Amino acid sequence: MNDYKLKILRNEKAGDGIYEMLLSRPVGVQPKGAQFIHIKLKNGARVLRRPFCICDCTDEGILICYAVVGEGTKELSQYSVGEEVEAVLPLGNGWSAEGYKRPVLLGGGMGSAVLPLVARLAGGAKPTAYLGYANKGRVVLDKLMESLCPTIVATDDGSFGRKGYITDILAEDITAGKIKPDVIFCCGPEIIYKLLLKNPAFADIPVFVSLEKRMGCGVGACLVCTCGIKTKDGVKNLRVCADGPVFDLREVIL
Amino acid sequence: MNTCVKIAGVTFKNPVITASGTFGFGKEYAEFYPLSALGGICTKGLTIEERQGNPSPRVAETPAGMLNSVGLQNPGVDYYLQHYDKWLSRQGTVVIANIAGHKLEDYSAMARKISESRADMVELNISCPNVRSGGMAFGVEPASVRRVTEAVKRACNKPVITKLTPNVSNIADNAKAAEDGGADAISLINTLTGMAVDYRTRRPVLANNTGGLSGPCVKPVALKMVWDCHNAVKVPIIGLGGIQSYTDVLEFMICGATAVQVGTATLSDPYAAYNIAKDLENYARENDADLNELIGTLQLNG
Repeated sequence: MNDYKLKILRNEKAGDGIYEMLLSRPVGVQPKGAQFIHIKLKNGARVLRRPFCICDCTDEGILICYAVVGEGTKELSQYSVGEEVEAVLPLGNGWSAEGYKRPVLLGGGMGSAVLPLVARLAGGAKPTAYLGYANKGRVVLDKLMESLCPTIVATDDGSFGRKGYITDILAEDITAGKIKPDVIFCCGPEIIYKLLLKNPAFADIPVFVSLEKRMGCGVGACLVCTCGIKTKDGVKNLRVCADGPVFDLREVIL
Repeated sequence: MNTCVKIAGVTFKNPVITASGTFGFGKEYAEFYPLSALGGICTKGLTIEERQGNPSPRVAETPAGMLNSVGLQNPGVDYYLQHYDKWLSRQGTVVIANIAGHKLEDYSAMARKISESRADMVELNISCPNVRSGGMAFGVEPASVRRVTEAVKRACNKPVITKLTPNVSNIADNAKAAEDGGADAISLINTLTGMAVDYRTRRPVLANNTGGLSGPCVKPVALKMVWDCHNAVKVPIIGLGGIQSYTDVLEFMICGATAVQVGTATLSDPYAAYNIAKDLENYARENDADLNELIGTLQLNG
């Protein structure tokens, strides 16, 4: 982990209000799946860095995929190719599918952005991706995921791929015996975590989730990004940036 | 040239100290640079018992600043003594243990614990806006600022810094109260209370509703208050509030600060305090300056 100056190699629209940014990869940096990058904005009035999961990492560079949701991401979307950004990486503990046989990588909306690198570094595991989006305009990274592992795409309104909510689609396939995941790795809006806990189809499957919180320092010092986690000593407010961002879903206080 | 400053007999190799709550107990930043480059480190606020702090979200960015409502989450003073005290004492920098409490006896008990630690100094957090009982309740009335400072001085054999809140009508009165209570130094300002609101949900952004404002937006307020206190007390002042660069440090020293603390800037840039310390050294070298000669040299217009 260190603070680097990274060159923007690509920064383009990938969907409705969604962008992909490819950054130069510092020599020797090999992020694990589900680690993140903390980018400093050029407008000094925005004092906090912005955390993004490392979507993918190849010889080509480091990929992030982000939705424009506020002034900070809007600023980021306006950066030009060739500009440099300052960023600390890789941060967080990450997660690896290695050691599992048939992991399901489950993404809800922008949560899908954490899955490509996890799939790329899956080692001997044979992952299958389930990606759910609101509608066709919000579908991103599906081609990249298809190049890495078998991928099922669904939209809530049926405008692309299968129709329905992605947890229902996955539960359907598990119940029908089409897929037998020995672990689920998931990132998405909180509703997806609640549905995973509620649906009996997932009852016997370990589930790991990559959480997102408003962050300060990104390295574990400032304690603003905490989440209640059940530990052997009771519920503790652990740091999503440094103790996570990946936790066992059944230990997370939602 | 000289960048060393002295506060209550403790020598700082440069006037740059990391502010409580923005630097943990130093371990995270020791992975970026040697902590010996800093004048000092002020620890995360410690309490007698472990505290889990406030619900999240605990942070909201605001124009040129941020609000936080961490609520003194910390592992408790005993855990600190077992896991960080020795390590911190070996980093080649001044260690200031920041302590907070609910009631007067908590501060005395904490002061006794820190007396037996390897910390060089203790900083009294009587100005945290994010805890319901204690914290800022002690920091508002001059009489209670004096009382809690006296209690800690009685229980502690280390130099005591009383950290003042800006959320009062006249901070100089509280500076004087701390001095009268025996404080060896004062530090200011802690965060200003504030609120961020989401017009769509009509709710505050922070789960705790209100939080403490910090960052470059508070610097003018801090500079003015440091100057006010400089004119009210003789004890050394540690200035903080929105410091981002070595020129900010020079401004605080000119207003009367002997040393400074760097807080929010560390969240923007993990190297902030390190770079500021290096830049100050370069400034002192290039100008063959003794930084001590700057302290309190502000000349008012007209």
